[in-house]
Amino acid sequence: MVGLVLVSHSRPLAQAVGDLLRRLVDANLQLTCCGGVGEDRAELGTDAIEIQEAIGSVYSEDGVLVLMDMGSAILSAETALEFLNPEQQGKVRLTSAPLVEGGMAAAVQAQLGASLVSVANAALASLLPKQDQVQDVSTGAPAAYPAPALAQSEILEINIRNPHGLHLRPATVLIKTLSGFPGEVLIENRTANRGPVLAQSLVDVARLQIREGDLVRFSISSPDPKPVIESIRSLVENQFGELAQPVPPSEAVVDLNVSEPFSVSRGIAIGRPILLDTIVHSLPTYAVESAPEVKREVEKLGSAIAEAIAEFDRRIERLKGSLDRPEEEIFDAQRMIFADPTILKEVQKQIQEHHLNAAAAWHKTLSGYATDQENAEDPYLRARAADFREVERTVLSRLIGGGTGSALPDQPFAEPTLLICEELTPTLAEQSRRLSIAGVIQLGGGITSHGAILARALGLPAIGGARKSRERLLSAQQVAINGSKGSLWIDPPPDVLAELAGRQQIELSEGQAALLKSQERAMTRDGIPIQVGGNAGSADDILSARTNGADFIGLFRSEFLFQDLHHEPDEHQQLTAYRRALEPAADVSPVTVRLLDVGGDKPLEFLPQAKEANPFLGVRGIRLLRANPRFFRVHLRALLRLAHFFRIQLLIPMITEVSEILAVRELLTELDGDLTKANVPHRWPVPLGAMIETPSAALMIDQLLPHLDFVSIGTNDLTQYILCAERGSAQLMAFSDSLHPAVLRMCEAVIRTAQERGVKASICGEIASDPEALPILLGLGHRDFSVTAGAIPAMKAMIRKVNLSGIASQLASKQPFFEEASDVRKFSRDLFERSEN
Amino acid sequence: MSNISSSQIFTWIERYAAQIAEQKDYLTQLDAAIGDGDHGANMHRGLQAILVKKADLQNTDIGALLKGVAMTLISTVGGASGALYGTFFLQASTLAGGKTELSPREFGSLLEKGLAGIVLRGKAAVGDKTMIDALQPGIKAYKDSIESGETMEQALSKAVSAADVGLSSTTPLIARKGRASYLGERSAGHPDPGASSTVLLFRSAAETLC
Repeated sequence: MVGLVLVSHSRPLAQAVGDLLRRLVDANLQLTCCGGVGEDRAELGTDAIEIQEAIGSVYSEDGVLVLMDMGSAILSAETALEFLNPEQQGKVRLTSAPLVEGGMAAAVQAQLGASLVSVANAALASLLPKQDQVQDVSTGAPAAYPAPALAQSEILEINIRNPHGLHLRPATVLIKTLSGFPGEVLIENRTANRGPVLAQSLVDVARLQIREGDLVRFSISSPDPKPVIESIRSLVENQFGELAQPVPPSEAVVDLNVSEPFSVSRGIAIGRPILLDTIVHSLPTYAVESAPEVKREVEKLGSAIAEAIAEFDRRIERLKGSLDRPEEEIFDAQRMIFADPTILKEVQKQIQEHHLNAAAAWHKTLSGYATDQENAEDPYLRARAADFREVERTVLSRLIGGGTGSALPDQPFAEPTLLICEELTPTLAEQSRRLSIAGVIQLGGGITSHGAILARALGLPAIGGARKSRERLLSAQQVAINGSKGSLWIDPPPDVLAELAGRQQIELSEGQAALLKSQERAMTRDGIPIQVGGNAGSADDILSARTNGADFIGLFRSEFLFQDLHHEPDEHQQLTAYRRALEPAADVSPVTVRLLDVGGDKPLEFLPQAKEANPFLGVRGIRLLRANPRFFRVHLRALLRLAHFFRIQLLIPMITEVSEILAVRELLTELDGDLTKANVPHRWPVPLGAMIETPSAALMIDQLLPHLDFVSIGTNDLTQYILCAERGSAQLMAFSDSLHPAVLRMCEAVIRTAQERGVKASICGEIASDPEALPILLGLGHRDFSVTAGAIPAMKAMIRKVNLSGIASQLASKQPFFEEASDVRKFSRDLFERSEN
Repeated sequence: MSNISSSQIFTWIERYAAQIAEQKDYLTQLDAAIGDGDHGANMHRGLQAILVKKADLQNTDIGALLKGVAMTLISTVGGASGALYGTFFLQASTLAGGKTELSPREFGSLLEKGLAGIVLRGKAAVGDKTMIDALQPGIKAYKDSIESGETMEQALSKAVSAADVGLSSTTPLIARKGRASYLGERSAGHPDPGASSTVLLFRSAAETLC
């Protein structure tokens, strides 16, 4: 509930207003009054320190609205604001609304659970009903709800019997009751010919000036209008509670169907929906066998390139004169790539001999060149990689989009746009940023797919599981999402839009405040330091993690370095690639480098695998490395040499039993001997750790620990293996929640055993960045985390609010009774509400 | 040129408290003409509260001393002058953290920082009939004098004169800020009480800091 602070020069005045609001609206308002200075605060005046404390006493995540009388009260309130911490500052507003009327309107909205923006807006508009009534200023005609186009509405006309009409208190009861039902209700004063207005704004309803005996029309648009009508009837009959008969509160029914939209990446996005053709982000896979087919593909490619060149030339023509010399050179270079005969020949060869279709052949060839460039020593040559990628994309969008304009444009969208797609792929997430896409709506999709992880890293708001709304999304003019809650609005009404836009602003400023503080180490309220590291897969990621305040790099994923290579990288190439990627981490330490973790959903071209019926239970991680001993040796040699340049520690993925760790140790010792003999600079020993992501590793943890320097619990995979539910499955969403009590029990066992043995254990799954999960994980004893860069500031901010000792004891008593993930989440929410009251 | 010590700063505040105590009724009279007649009493209450904390404030660095003065004014004065003078000293204190003495030039920077805080808080400018009409020219005169190599004594004496001129300039003005602005035209013909207490701040500085 939004908190309210009333400030007056006169303490009795502030207290009297507070008393009025409690009696008229609700005795349980979050409300504090302050005012007066000097002894017993009997003198007239205001005190900024007292206001600051008052704000603190009613502060919650929902925010606080401060109402003041005048003059120095405003100055003092502004000064008080400056004393708050930046996190709180973003959620506290001063309003110019009049103390009594504004307080009344604000209290009603706050009591309804409205957002800070709505509460503030209600306060600002609070004089309108009075002005309408007194008629001393021109306020225009009472606001009619714009285009009240409620489909299939039920009508109820009824006379109001309250002796004083539908004044503030009964209007409040009406709004409160109706807010419990789905759908909308319009209300119109037929007698005075005022309205209709939506029955959700106290100010709007009050302006209808409904008096005793007035005929009021309710238009109810609801999937189930009957209970709404009955409710209104009984409200009118008992005179909205003024006959002293309590109205039974109605509760909204929440449908917990798994196919409802769910949260993927936090943030609010509002914009025009655009459907992404499924083909754009996945290359066509058809093979080209016969001669005529080959001829057709080659021709298709030829005309796509010709079109691309023509468009390219038009663009240069437009830009001519405004280009600097280096820019001209870039364009020249790109122009040359388009028309390069060698490239063309190679693509044709791919089509003719390897039976690839034009798009796949073009992609394979061009991205191969780009990757080669990226591995070049010379920085100028490295920069040319971007040119290859650009050219690749330009032609590809023509080949795949078929010139119909259905492919993603090369230029960013002019207006805020929400992308609708089947599933967010990493490429797509990346493109979203380039194209200034505001947010992503996945029709299917999961929350731990790599595209989803990237979206969170990029701060791109996203939801999933929106398939039910597909048809409506396609015809919508405007949609909005709240990625934190997984909510979706299709063509939302203006007031909802305004509120979302307001919340978006608040979240942005909160984000900035959290970012400012995130460079400092985080400590819980009771003084326990918590380490928050960043996950990364590239130099950019490391930079982003550092900017966001990562205390260390807790997981560097090696596979992102290699995934575009067609050939097995040799020792030197690997070392070079790692050194380049780790450059921004030169002065943060340590960096945990995970050995190449492929198989499952992350296949690599140069380590081909036999087809497996169930790749997640197949040859992946350390199993695959050991199955390719020659490559494994090269890989470990490169990493030992890397350890000469950076303080790294090595993490083995997909450990099942102790023999695997022993084998890796043995190999490392042997390679150390080889390198020493050959006089190659390297370092061994370096700390060696294991990912705990199989139930076996978790259960056998006591056996593994003596051979390890640290462990890292990979909750994403561990969850799917414990609950036997695929990560990407939208239908099994309920089983993809790492807060499932079974997963928590296993994590707790690992952490306890590791702590007993003095081995550091961290968590590197996405769950740690979930605001509902963090207090639970802390309560179970976890002190080290590594998460996607974008989540770090919010996570540190959250840690600073948590009181650990309280959580641990409450959790211990409740934990045995948790049956499913939702129990844990409910516990976490209650925990927070209690701590805020 | 000699530096200003932290004990001198406290003496300055003490002297200011004494002057406000002397002029309390006069200030209140001024305020009664154009405001709500509490300026003298309010300032007096705040400064007396500072004197009570003398033991704590005397034994700290200048930053902590000024911050203590600021917080006391903010929580005890009550009127706009509490928030404004409080902001002045609070902002000034940010430049003096850990320092036990200030060069005349540093002292000037402190004053300027405090002024900037007041301008931001009160959203007022010279000519709005506020304390800024005395504070701004006073600080400018001080800075100019120090820059041209004059002594602390000369600089503070010029500051007092400039602030005085600034104060006189408020008499014909119509108030645009604070509660005096409710009086509109009626506020013209009286000097601004805030500007008057500001002149006293400079005067007490001239008597104690050189």
